[in-house]
Amino acid sequence: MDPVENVYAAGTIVSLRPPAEADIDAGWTAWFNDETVVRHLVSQYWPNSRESQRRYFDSLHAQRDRLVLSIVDSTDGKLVGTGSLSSINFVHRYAYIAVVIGAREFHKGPVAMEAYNLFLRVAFRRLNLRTVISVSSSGNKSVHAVHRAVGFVEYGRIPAVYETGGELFDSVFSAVDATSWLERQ
Amino acid sequence: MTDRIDAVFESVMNTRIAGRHPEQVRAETVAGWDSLRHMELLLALEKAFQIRFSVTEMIGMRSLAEIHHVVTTKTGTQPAR
Repeated sequence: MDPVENVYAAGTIVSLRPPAEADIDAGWTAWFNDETVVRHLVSQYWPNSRESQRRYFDSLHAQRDRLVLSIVDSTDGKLVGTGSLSSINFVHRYAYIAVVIGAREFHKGPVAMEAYNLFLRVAFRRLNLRTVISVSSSGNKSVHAVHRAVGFVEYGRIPAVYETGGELFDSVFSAVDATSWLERQ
Repeated sequence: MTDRIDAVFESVMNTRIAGRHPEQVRAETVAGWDSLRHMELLLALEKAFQIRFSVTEMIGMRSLAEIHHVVTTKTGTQPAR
């Protein structure tokens, strides 16, 4: 039997599958209270709860402009993160990407890179989008390193938008198009 | 060739390989081998050996043994078997 049930995009280290109700207790609730995980996320400052995650999970089914997928270990199906393509615009063929590796033991090596790359594969190969956009804090050096690897280019920034741990960070706008992404594979 | 790769690895990871088998030197076992350090390592290897990794190769290099294999293959210095 495949170790990952209902796999949507298979990778070597991690794979993507649709969210399951069990993900609420398996990671979501704890991760988005974890200061290490949310430190550079731009909208996760309010206390998280099982109820709020439940409402979020219930809201996913009706949405067609946001695709949320769970990131799981390809070997045993363990939940390690979550990500999304949001504000999907099928006319102009773009979306915004967000990826969170919540399980700290997976903050290792190329895990985040593969997760990002799988989301881009879904965006460009399955949804036929043309551009994927990211808005992130300049303090999130890991995500910027991954961005460069998979072909993102920085197009601009707003200085000193975010204040984290007493430091000010820029809001960084970057994007990757389907052609550039494919060339990096 | 693998000595030069190991030197880059030790410099970026700020660690000593110290006789460990390259297969045992893995992202899971080296403290600090996170996603940022992974990219710093790959950029340092690209610069040192004048090569360019694909995303598929970057994702596949999760141990020093895999790094040896990819770098020596790309530079045409893979030892004869």
